[in-house]
Amino acid sequence: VARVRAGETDAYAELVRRHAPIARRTAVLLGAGPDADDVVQEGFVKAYRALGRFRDGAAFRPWLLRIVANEARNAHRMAVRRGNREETAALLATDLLYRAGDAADPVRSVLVTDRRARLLGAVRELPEPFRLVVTCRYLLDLDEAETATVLGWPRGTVKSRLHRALARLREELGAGEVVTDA
Amino acid sequence: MPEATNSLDAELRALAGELRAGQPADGLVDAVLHRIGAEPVPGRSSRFAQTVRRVRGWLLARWRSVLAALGVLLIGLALAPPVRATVAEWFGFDGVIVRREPGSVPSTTPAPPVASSNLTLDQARRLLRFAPLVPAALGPPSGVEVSADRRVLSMTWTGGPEGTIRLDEFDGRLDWRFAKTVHADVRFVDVGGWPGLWFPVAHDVAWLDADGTPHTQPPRLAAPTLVWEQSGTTLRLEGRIDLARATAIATSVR
Repeated sequence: VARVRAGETDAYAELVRRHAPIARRTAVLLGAGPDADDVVQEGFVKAYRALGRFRDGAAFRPWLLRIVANEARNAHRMAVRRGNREETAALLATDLLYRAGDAADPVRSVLVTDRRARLLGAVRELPEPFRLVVTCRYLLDLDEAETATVLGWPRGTVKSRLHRALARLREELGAGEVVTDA
Repeated sequence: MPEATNSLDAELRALAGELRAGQPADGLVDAVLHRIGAEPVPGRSSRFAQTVRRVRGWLLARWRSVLAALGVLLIGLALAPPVRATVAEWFGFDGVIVRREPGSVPSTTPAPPVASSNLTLDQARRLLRFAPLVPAALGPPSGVEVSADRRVLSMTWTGGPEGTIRLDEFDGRLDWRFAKTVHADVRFVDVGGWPGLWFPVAHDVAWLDADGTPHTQPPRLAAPTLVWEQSGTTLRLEGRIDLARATAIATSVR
């Protein structure tokens, strides 16, 4: 960041290259859907413009992801407005199935896929604050401090919302289990 | 199935490992460099500006506890309009100002005004500049209205046991806001994880423009109301209902 501020544009290219995969993952998982590439590009451009506000010594990754996350949520809202919500949901599910489908044992692979799909479905159905915290902590594998930065919440809030989100997920999935077994 | 014994924790991690988000676009680096090429090198903002931002961020993130600490003090003060706006934003409520005044609680509880039924929800959706949120708990609205500037969506449900229920929503990042004047307690509540305010009794409500002057409509007396903010949209649910019912409706919003 210091090199970028000193006028070295190449240094920013390096930052973009290094953080592009996690930025894309953030965009996709927070609902940017087919707009993910645009969201990532916009995120990096906005981050560059905002570099003046970057605090020396802070971590670049969560700071960037916060900008990308805001972009992704805006894109998602726009998509919902255009009535594309179903399309976006379908995209993720297909991705997931594709991956689990190439396991060695097809029967087991179907069972696992089904279970994963159900878990993903349950995560997506959570109220937004809960969904965000589970997505950041687990699906993006960010730590508590990074999650706090990305979502702009105090760490205590991250902790308590994650706790409540997991309790809720357990409840949802537990209820589903009984129905399946019956 | 061996997964059944695994904890939710492990399953979520496994799920994370299987989710594929795809690769970043090939031309990303070039596209970004091209776009920032013509821009000035970002300087460092002043120490003071950074401090202000940090304090603001800190307050925004903790508005509830800050409020608990300052509440008694603030409520007694008659704040000038610009200051009031700032305070409302600090507390995380874009688009809502609450003013407490001495006086008696109105003895009647009016029914909320009914929205006309000239529009369908789909037509409203196309007119609005934000994505409307609709509570599943109430089913399709019987009346739908969009303000002339296309910034406020109002929906009403009539004919239920509770009489008319009204939901107004707008993009909370706009310049103007609701102003509520109350003579009684206001409760800070949690609406499915989002911050909310509960006005248990009748109170005055008005719209303010960016400079704090009242909007076209005169203030009107409103029924009990739950106001909350959800993903940038500010929602206002009004009717002769209690907090439990209001929360149930509010958390069913999709």
